[in-house]
Amino acid sequence: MIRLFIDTVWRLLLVQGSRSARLHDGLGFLHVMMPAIRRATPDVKGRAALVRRYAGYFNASTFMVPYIAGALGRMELDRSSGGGDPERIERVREALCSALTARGEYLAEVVLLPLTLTIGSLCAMYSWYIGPVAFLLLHNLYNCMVRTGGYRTGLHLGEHTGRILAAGPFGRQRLLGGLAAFAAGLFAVFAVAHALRFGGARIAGSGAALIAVSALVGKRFSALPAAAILLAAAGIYLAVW
Amino acid sequence: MHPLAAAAAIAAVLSFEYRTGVRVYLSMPLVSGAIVGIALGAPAQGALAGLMMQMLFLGAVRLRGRIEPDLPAAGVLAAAVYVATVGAGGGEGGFEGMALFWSLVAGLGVAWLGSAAYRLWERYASGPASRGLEAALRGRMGTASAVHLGLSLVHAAWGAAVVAILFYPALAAVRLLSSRLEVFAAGSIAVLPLLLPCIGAGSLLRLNWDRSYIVWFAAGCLVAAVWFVFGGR
Repeated sequence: MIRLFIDTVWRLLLVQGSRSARLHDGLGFLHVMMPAIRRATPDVKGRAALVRRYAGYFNASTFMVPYIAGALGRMELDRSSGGGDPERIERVREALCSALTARGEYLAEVVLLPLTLTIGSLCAMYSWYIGPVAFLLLHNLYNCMVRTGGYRTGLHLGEHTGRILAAGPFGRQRLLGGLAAFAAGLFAVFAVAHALRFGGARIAGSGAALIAVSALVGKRFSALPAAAILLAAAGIYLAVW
Repeated sequence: MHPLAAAAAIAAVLSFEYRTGVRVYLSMPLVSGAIVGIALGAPAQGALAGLMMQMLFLGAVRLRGRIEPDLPAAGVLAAAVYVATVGAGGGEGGFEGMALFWSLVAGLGVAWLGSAAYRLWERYASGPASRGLEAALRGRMGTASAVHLGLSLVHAAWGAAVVAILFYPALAAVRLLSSRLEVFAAGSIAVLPLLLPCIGAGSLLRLNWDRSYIVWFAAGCLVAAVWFVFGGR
């Protein structure tokens, strides 16, 4: 079982490497499931049905795919010892792919990443090396827990993995979101205070106005155009004034 | 190591890390700027450029279906060009501010180029990925793995190539624009690093513009304000 764990966990790190428009992470997920498939069906000729189950579209969130791979791996191992239903595995795969990926992406990209980046950026305003280190430590503490712990949990609980997710990562999502917003509030005031301390009242006032403009521009434009507009606005303002 | 080789090697590793799903997030400009700075012998300058690039995308959320800026290559190029322009010791404030501004503009260009290139790449990659799955269905699991890992390596190649090709043109352009564009030198561009965090704060405000989260945001503002009122620095 340890060999299966190690062989799968390193593959989980590369799951999005072959992302494509049509299959998304289908090939990557098959690559992740290969050790479990080999273990469940040592006979090469009998593997075709198993491979067919995973040879299609798959939408992987890096945070949720360890749980999904673990749960499906457990179900495949149970099936090989006569305890599982292939149709049920297929249904669980489809359900987990659609439901967990959306929630996992929200947790990772909308909650956890802004939270840790805000704290890292806040630290970086005071010390160039503490900021990146704080961000990496905070983010990867959770990242490593989910990556290795998630696969182990899935492998242990099989199709009942969802219960742990509701109590664990998803249960803490609201609190983490609140903390991210709290850290963002701290950051906003620190940014203006930093501008006041080193640039004076005019720069601090401009900074406060820029916060409002940035929020409005961000509502109307996507990330890249918004960044370009705001950088150009700040540059032109400072150049002419 | 030569700055171009160092920047290209870092971009290769970070693009691979970001696109494959390793997601340790060394590729975030906040971190990659410091890495580039350390590699080029000016850690504080590299970290400053990385932090400022990060401020432009602090509240940008990476969700499927949206055009996603290519941050790994953008962060590395902006930091490398800025460090190569101002050097380890830094320079006069106005020149540094202009170099930072134009380095960030170069970084934004690379971020846009990467997002456009990846849209095309993901369409093209459907073909090889489908053939990999077909190979697996025929029992050739090793071939499917090789296709997957081969496609993964393209990300590293992209990161290295874009930085290697654009480093010198971007450096020349940033040096020229920083020293020749007098209109910018007349203003207070040196304080640009004080304004950019406010762009980040604004994007975070937008991200938390939700009835329940705005209360937490306001609480954070209040705690920070109390901290400064009572003499915090």
